[in-house]
Formats: sequence, C-alpha cells, structure tokens
Amino acid sequence: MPFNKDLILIFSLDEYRFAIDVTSLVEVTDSLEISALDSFTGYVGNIDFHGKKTTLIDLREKLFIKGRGEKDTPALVVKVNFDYYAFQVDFVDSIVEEKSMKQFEFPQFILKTKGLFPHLYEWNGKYVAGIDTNMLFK
Amino acid sequence: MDSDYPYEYLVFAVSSELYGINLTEVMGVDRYRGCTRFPLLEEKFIGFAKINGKPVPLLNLADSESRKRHRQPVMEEYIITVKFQGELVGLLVNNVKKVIKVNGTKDAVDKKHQHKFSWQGKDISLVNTDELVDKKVICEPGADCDTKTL
Repeated sequence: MPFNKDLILIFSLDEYRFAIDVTSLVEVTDSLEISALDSFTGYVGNIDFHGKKTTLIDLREKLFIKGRGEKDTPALVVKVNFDYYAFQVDFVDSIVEEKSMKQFEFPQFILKTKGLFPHLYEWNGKYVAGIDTNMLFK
Repeated sequence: MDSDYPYEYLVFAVSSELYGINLTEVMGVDRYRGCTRFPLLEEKFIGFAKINGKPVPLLNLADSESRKRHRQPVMEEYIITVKFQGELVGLLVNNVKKVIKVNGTKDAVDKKHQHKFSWQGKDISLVNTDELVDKKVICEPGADCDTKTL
C-alpha cells in the first residue's frame, strides 16, 4: 500500500526538530547495515543499501549543527529525483498526519538558505521545521 | 500638517543602553518564555516564540553577555512584537521601561535630537523596525543610525 501523501515524519537532531514528507521516504532503519563503497569516510560517502548505490550524508554538517551524533542511531533513507540518500538522526519522534497539525509558512527572510524550510508545524507545543528534500539534496 | 503633536516611544533596554521605538510600530510586548531554535537562520535570529498562538521569529537584541552569565533562557527578558514587511517579528530585549511622549513632528524630532532624546538624564536612541530587522543595526547615542551592530 503506498504511503499516504499527507503524512510527515518528525525527527530530532540535537535540540532541533525537523519533518520530511513520507512520500520521499524509502526506509527507516535502526542502524545502517551497509557495505561501504568508494569514498566512504564513516560519516559521508557512497554506500550499498539493499543493492542500491546510496549517498550517505552528514545531515548535521549540512544544516550547520555542531557536534557529532551517536553511532547507533536511526537512519532515514530517502529517494529524491531517482537518487537514494541516507542520513542518521538522533531520534525518530513520530509519523503524523500533516493536516492534524497547525501549519505555518516559514518566514523566508530569516533563512540563510531560502526555501530549505518551506513550512513550520506545531507539534506537542514545539515548532518543527519542514524540510524540502529536493532543496536539501540538490 | 506641520503642527506639533506628541510622538509616543516605547523605551527599552539592551544591556545598559536605552532605545526608543515609535509606539505605532509596536504590536505588543510579552515576557520571554523561551523559544524553539533552528539552525541556518540569518544572524541575530534565534528561533520562534509562540505569541498569541502563532510562531513569531525572534531577533535577538538582548545583551549576549547576560545570556552567558545566566542559564538560558533568560526569563527576565522581553519580546517587543513589531511588523516587518507584513510579517510579525519579535525583538528580544533586556528590559522594557515605559512609554514616553515627545512633542514635535517626526522630522523635527529626528533633526533636532539627531535620532536621540534625553529622558531622566539618559540618552535614548531612536530606532525603527526596518533598521533593526533589515540591517540589524541599532543607533548609538548621538550617532546616525548605521554605526553600531549589536
């Protein structure tokens, strides 16, 4: 059964909470059981994920979040424009129906990378930044 | 019309300096009760505070030294909500003093007082929302409004 396109997955990185549309989600794994391909450095590089060449990225580095996460934390595998990407997160918090949450436009004038966070959601009294995965991996 | 009439300014403190913002630009004042932070924000913006049920981006004007001395968040601080290009923005400041009235047309106030006026023996620098949000500067007492970056 295909994913409901109105679902979003909320995850944590450090003190921050982000959300991605589950339509781009391929799998959530407890930890990445992978075989490294060329140019793999432990945090970034190309990996083999169920026979698919997948780019492992350090989302902390991409979002300019200081510090390094724990090793055995969940990883999300997403498909964007026919390419597979994987990144580790600290926690997967929830999968929520988008329309069940309050949704706001993220004011772009306060963002360094315009368009990366198009939406802001209110979830459990906190705000969650919705990530545009096309922007993130372009 | 060129007749004198009082302008009302909300006086607030950033560190030991006093600043005044025209009351017509102020949408509200709230105590700071924490915020949700995000990475990749423009300098000075630290996240969102919930004000009247809505997320309002917070521009941090508050003295960073006092933040280091206290455990964050510093609950004694205040948020002055203003409108910038149709969007609400919260100015995080160390304290909000009071509203004072200044007589004269706006031009007269600006020229005569060179972007500042005196209140209880202290200089108050006049600032406006565009300067604060767009250029992220605040007037230094006695100077033009483009000299001091907090």
